[in-house]
Amino acid sequence: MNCVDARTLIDAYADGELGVERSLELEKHLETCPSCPAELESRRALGSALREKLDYHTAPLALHRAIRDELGRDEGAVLRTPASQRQRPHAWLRMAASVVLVAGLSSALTYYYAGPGGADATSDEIFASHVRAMQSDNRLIDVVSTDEHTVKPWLDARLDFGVPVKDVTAYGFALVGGRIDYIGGRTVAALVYHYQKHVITLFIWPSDGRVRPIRTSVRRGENIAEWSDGSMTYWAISDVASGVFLEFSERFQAAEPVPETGAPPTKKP
Amino acid sequence: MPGDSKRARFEREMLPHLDAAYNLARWILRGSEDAQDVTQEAILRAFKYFDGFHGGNAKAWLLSIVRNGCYSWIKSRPKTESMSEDDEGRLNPEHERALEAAGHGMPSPEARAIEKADRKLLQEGLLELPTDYREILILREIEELSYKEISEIAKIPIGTVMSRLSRARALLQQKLVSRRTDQDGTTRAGVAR
Repeated sequence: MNCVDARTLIDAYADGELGVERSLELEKHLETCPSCPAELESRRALGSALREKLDYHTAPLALHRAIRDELGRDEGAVLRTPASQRQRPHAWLRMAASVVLVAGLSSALTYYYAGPGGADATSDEIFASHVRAMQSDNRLIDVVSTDEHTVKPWLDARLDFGVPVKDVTAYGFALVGGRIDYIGGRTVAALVYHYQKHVITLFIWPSDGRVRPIRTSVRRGENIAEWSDGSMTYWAISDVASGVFLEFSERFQAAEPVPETGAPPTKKP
Repeated sequence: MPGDSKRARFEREMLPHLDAAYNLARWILRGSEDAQDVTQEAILRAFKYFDGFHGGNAKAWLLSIVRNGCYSWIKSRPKTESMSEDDEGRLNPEHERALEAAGHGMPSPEARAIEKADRKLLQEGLLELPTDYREILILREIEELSYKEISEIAKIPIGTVMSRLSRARALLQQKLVSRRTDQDGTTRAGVAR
């Protein structure tokens, strides 16, 4: 193989898309060629530079909402109404109105918030932790309980901050438990919610004091949302449909935390 | 699943790829504000034809619709976009020359120059590339799609995916390196086969 042939294959090789036979031929050439290995090196450098540095434009909330509205126009309110709402026919309407309000409010704040330098690393860790939990038999839930008043004291006793545990069952999101996790070099709370068969993990830790609206992204099929209310930073991740996921994030953001039950003392932010 | 309507299935299978769709549109349309409208329209078109989607690769299916939407949008605009290849798949002479310059024998310092290229340089370099080059780099490097998936989305043979990707990278690489070495006038050594 000469350099001209090698150059036509080098990209496919770097991409892991070259067959075994041709890969071996190319590798043989690379061993002796003075210049092609550098070309391969450049290709790899380019790939990682693009992945690390290029802006990823996540869909703005307004787009999510516009699409949900348009889709809803076809099918009305029959869709994915959780059982809890079916018992209360008017809840859906009231909820729709307030979703619009909350969403409108948050998009009016900024939409193009570019994440802090560590956002990608955090999102990697969140993703890894969530996936690890999904693969384990007990979903890595340390405190199994559907009761906020059990989960909160358990977490608070093990963390240096008070965890805002919230009840969002009315919207179809059921708390199933929590665990202590380790993200970005600190211990954090992870709350686990279920929506139908989907698992939503919500990571919480004290924030730097800035308020940030919900910002969404997708990583390998998992929806990720992050926001901050000024005292806590929240990262949610789930494979649930993005409309539902966004609703979870908005609902959680808007809900009041369950009050302290007095058991272990916590530092209130 | 109760309430598993067409919309529920669509939301579950397609909407997780909304960010990928929007990001692709933004990059194809060079950051145009219209990317939002184009994406929305494409998603709704996808919903309309969702019955024709019989499983398979949801992301590739959705992205191909979004991509079509972007190209229709470009066509409807006054001509400003450049495409690298004409219908017969030949390169523009301009791009051909640039590639030859980028051509053979990249010394290892080039990899370092690429690694050091800052965000701005990288984005600008990408935006200057012809649309189909920019698109294929996003699909491969950012969305990490396979050649087969890219071939479905862009409706080109796998061989063309491979060569187009190779040209796109060589061209971008050359842009990054030449900008970094502008001042010291470094020339690349041509290396024989």
